[in-house]
Amino acid sequence: MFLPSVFDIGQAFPTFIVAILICVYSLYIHVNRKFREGMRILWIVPFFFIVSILVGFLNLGNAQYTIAIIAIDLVIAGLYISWFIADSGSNKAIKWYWAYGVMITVVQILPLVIGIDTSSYLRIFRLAATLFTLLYFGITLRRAALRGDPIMKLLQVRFFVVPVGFFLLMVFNQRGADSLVVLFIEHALMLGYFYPVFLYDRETYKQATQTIDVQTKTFVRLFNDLREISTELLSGGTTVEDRDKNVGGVLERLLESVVTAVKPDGVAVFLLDRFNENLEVSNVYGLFPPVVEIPSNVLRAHVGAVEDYLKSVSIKPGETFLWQVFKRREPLFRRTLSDRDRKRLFFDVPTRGNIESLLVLPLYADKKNFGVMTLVRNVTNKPFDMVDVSQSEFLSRYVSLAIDNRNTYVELFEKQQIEQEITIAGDIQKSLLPTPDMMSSQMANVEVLSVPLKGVSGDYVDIISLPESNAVIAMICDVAGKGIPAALLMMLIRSVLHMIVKSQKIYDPGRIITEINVAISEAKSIDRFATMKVLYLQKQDNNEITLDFASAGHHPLIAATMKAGEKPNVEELDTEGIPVGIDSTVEYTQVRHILQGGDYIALYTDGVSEIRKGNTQEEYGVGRMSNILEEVRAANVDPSQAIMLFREDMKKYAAGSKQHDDQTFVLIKLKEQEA
Amino acid sequence: MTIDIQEEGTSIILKIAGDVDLFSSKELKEKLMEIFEGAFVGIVLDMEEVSYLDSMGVGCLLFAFSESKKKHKSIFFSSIIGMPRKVIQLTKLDNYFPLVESIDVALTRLGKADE
Repeated sequence: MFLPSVFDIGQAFPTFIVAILICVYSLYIHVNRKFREGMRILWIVPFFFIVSILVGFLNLGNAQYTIAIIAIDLVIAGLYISWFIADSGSNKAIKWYWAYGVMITVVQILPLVIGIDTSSYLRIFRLAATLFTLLYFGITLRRAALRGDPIMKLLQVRFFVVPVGFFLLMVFNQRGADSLVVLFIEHALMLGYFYPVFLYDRETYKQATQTIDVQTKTFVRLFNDLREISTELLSGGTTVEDRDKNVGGVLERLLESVVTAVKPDGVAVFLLDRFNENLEVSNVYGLFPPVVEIPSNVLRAHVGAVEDYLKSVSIKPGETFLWQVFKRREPLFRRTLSDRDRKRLFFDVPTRGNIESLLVLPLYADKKNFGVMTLVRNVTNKPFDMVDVSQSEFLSRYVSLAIDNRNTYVELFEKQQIEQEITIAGDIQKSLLPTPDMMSSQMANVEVLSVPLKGVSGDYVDIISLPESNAVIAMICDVAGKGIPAALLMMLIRSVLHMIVKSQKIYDPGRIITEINVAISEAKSIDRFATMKVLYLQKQDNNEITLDFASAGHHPLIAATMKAGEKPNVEELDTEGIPVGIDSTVEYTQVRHILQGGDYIALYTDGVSEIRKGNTQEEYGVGRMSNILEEVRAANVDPSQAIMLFREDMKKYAAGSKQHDDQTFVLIKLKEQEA
Repeated sequence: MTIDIQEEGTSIILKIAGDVDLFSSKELKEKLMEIFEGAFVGIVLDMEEVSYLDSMGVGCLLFAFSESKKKHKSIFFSSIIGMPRKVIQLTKLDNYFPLVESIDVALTRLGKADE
């Protein structure tokens, strides 16, 4: 029955349309919970003033009414001004309030200036309605604020007041009331709408400033905590033990920081054990989440027993939700635990019911997962909020990174130390190389090129001079594999060689290799082996030089011989024999060749024959070595110069490509017959 | 390096492809250890696709050969060609290793050994 008459409200019709729009919009905001967007509704307010001005013009008349209007308008203006003072932040909305305040005052004073005629009962009614509106909102909002959730209440108030105001407006129009009634209901309506909007803003502003304040304090405290953690980390030494002690200290600091910042009722840090791969309790504070079953006899014992028990708790891979957090690196957060959650997550112990809020954070860095941290609050405390979560996350992330850095530091230091040791090992090895005086005997001059790949070499060269026999023993050896293990096997081979030759006076290359083979076959695992050639050069009475050699799977030797008046002859010499260290029953045999003074012999390891040309796959091979050898033999070059030729040629060939194996090259020049 | 495994009755065939060197030989060795623990009587390492073999790779073959003796299993290395063949010849292991021309030959010999 209202509907047809709604269109009869005459002057109030624009107000009516605006009020309807506000109602619909308020409803939309309320349902969709878009409170921020709701502030756009402020733009509607100027329309009210326009409407008010129109209505004011239409009600020209009674000058007596002006007193009441002054009183009310002063109250309203004062109210607005006090808001602005209270809210003097540089907020856009607040500037709008200023504008509205000025406008509302003008609008209220305008009818006064022009003069409005109305009866006294209406005057009282207007005054009463306005005061009622103010009181109503004052009380409602005060109560809402006390309940601690003002924003929602404010919006509910707005939602409630607007339709009610509109309803009253219609009722008065139905009864043919003076259009002045419409005017002040309109004012009440406006206030009812406007005041909550303002309070909403103020509340938001207040919360924002409080948050900033809280965050500043938190930041300062976190900064101090982080500084202490860093100091703690840097204070330790460089060994693994120091590191572990340090990490323990850092975790203790993490626990303290979390306890101060978040104020939980319990924190526990679980770390991955390096040896058994279980998650073990590292630090505990307060209430412990019953993620493990605590035997009833422990529970019945004194409090200390439970603590001791917890410290020894070990969670096997895959057990409990802690492992999920650990593996997935995703925090688990339950603001308030349901009974179902408690049953699912915890063991059935009496303390389970006390836990209200649960936060589990993973401790991890780029490559490594360290452990998890659990935080709990019990039912008497308020649940964790997002600020608590982000602070705990921040601290745990920082500590994880710090621990990771600490680990990397110790590892780097250890690596550096190992490298130093390798350098020392390399030096020892170099000192074992034959010295120049050992290399030049009565019958031969020897030059060696040796370029290890990693500080220590798996290649080995030895020259043993035997002046009483007019002989020299030369060995070249290449141990499979690289670095320290290869170097150790090399040392073993060297010891055996010297023992056989010097103590047992065994000079037969075949026997030497056989003995070495027996010795190392027993001493090492099967996949380590070595190739070698052992040469025995002896000057015979007829001035010929005999070369006896045996081989254990090593590259052929290259011999450059030249008979008087002929061209030099370069050939590869080899004999049968598998590498040493494979089969201890193998008997190695030797072969004999006859050489002359001035002849050259070259020995090399595969690091030399496999030198890559530039960065191609092409290999140095034997051809180039043979060619140089032929030239030096023809020209009878001094070995110390000849070796330079080889060095230069290899360097030129490699053209800066990366070395990928130890390189050893041995050049022996047999001394010419002394005149 | 890749290892493709085929089972043939009581025998197992490992088709190895790529480089068997310092870096990959550990993986091959682990695979072999696993197989030696198993029930297979005959093992064939097919090396037709192996393009590079270094001393660690040779060590790996030595390991395979000696383990097979220890575990009383039969092993054959089939189709070693190209550079790996040269390495094995150079180290004089061509007469030491049980080398055969093809998988079929290896399987025939394993079959005879079974009887």
